[in-house]
Amino acid sequence: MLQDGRGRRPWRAAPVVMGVVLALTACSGDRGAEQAAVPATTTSATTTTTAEPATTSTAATDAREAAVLASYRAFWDDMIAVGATTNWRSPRMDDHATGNALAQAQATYRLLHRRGLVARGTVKVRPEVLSIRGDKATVYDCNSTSNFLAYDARTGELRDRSSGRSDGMTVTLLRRNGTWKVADSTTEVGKCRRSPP
Amino acid sequence: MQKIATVVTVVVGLLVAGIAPASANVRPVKGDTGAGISVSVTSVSGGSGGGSGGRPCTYQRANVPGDPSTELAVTPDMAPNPGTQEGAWYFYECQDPRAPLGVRSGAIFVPAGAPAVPPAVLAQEASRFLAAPAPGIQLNPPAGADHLVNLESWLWVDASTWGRRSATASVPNESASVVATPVSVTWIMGDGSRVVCRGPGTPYDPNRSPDSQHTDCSHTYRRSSASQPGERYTVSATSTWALTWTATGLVVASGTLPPLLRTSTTTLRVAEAQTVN
Repeated sequence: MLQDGRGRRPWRAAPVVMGVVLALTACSGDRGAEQAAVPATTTSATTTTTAEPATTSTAATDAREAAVLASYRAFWDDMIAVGATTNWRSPRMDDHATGNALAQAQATYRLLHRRGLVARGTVKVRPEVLSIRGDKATVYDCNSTSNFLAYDARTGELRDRSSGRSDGMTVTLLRRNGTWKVADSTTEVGKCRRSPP
Repeated sequence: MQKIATVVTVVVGLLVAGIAPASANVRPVKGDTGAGISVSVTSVSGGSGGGSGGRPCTYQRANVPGDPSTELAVTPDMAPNPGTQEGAWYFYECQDPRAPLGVRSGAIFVPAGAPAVPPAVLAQEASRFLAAPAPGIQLNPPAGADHLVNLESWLWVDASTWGRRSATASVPNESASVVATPVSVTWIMGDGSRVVCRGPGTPYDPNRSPDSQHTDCSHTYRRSSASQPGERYTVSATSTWALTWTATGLVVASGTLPPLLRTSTTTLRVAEAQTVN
């Protein structure tokens, strides 16, 4: 499914938490159905970055890219941290998210919360900056949320299956009050332009 | 804290304030844009097949005072036109078997006095769920029997694959219904002939005498199929479905969509009459 993330209307929003969401249930095309044995206490993101050095970049560009990538990773850290309770009203939700991505993330965690579910596990990201123009940046990430799974909040029972899959995600970040925030995304489910992390 | 349940099942038109005619503003729909749009496949006439695959949604208004369960943090980046539009945010949950947990959830901004989604886009979304079937090919002589040169072959389609279908797509305050009406069947007979029938055709009744029956949808082969691959003609039937839509709610509008074409194929053998006893 190719999400059109360019639309500005909320109903066209391409959820950036889609990767999270998609990992929460098994989808057709899943390879295997291994149950991820992730300790309940593991709520930190594994950010495996293998970004290649950009030989033509200036130091200033490097710094800007580093800021964008740091915010992108922080976004996932936020999502994983909030997933432990799925409290969509957490002040952490909008620390590194805005726009459609924030709306979608809130709606997703609210749905999980209403169903008595929490999300635990790890997300592997490997982002690279595609462009930075003014207050808008575009990041491509071949990420894996297949070990970020839904559990029953009360019993701890796994209510999910790992997809074992990596998704290609083109993410738009906007700089708001000096902080880069994930605003929108286009997800290519199960497709990465690079080898999976 | 008092909780106010405000789950709104979208019954469009309930909140209509000032119905005004509007011209359709058709915008191309790309990709999976249907998030937050409720779709029901509502009717089938003249057949047993049809309606399936709807996607009913429920909506709940966000940020209802005194109800923390409806809390939604809103940033200017979320609104279509930040700061310029009156309106309200709604959480939506749409049933979708392909989605995680069987539910596609999100938030949708419903501007005051205007539909959250243009009627023409709603209509296009509804049309994706229309269960317009391919024609069920029926022939006389029936399947498995040879047709004969210079003898009229009757053509018709199963009643279950004929008859109007409709689907309705809704968001708060607006709804668009698309009606698909089959209008014709184009038969490509395999011998270079093309037969257009303005209807499903007439079923041949083997219990009645041939002389007492008549059809306006037929073809008479002039050559046998002996020279064809497998000694059979490939016959295709394409039904054309006209699509019209009407929208009600804050905006009243109507229009048409490009017709749907549905095709089935089969093969048949045409024999020279004198070779048959």
